[in-house]
Amino acid sequence: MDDLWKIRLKKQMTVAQLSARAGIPARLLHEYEEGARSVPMRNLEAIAKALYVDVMDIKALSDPIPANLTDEVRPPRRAAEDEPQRPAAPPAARPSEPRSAPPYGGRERPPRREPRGPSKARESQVQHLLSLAQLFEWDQAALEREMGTPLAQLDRMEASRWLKVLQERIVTERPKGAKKRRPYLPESVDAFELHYLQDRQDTEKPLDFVLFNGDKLTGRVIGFGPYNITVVTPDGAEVTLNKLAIAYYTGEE
Amino acid sequence: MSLGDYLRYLRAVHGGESTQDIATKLGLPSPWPINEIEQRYRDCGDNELVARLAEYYGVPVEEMQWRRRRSRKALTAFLSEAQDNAHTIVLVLRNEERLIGTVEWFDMGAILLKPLDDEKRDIMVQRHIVDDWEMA
Repeated sequence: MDDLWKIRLKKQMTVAQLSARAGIPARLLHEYEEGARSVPMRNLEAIAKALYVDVMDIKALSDPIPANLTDEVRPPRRAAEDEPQRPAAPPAARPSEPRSAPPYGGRERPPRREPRGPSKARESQVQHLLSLAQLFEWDQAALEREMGTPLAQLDRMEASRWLKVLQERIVTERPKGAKKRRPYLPESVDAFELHYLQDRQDTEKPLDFVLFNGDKLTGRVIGFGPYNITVVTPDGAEVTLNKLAIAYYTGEE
Repeated sequence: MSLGDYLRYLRAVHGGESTQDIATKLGLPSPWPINEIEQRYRDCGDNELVARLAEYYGVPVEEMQWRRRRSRKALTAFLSEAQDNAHTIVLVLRNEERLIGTVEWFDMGAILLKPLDDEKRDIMVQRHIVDDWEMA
């Protein structure tokens, strides 16, 4: 996990280029790079895509760019260069006010807002983590032990990372609670029939085919694909049947 | 057989014309609505289009509407329920043959039926030949 500006430099990309690719204003990217604000997940995904890296590779809140690197990372004319040209601002609403009026109307400059830390994990993320934990037969305490962080202190990035980790573990470890569910809609896959045919081919048990037009044929499977089945009939003839021509076929267990 | 499968079948037996050709003949600006009916697993298409297609192919519009209710998704839902509850089902094929048995499994292309009268045999029914279905 690295600072956004470091990754951008590694990819030899300017802020303007990243802005154009990610569709995020350059000004906002500067703020992210300077650590003035954390990158929300939606923008993080767009930036990761534009930089060809994983979301998890980018820190949500970058460390500020070191002063000695500033010029290298950010050209001096950055604002004018990175942002699209805008029409000149309309004249001031109060023409009586002199142009040289001090900023903030002579008042003291307001203090700069402290950079916001990563956002707290969403309720939906927490609920999702708890539901995945159930598949491992963990209660909340066990889940927190596993993560090393109480759920209440989890931020969005960490929650996202743990969701990914648990989902991968469900696939690899197949915990007891995780039933292998048939994908219901859209309509599953066509693998079952192919497995059946593979078994028939391996065991060389013959199948009796009934075709769409009522013809019948018996043969041993010697090859098949998603759209056809090739059989050898008892008299040694090799026949390839288009599946669309088949009504059904039967075989002994 | 779903309406989509049936339309593809009708198109094939009418010389295999393209959906673009049919759309042009029906005065549709695009073949997209016909493609949608043919390709989607769920019920789609509006009544007017279905009626115009029925007229074009010279088949009763009632049959078209009947098939709309027998989409691939509807068959999937039926098979799933039958498999989960070990129900005995009847599959009525396009050749009017009736197969009775329990569902071992099914996928996108076929259904493995265990017939009631011969449990030592499997019947692999191709989905495209299934015309209708019901619980036994």
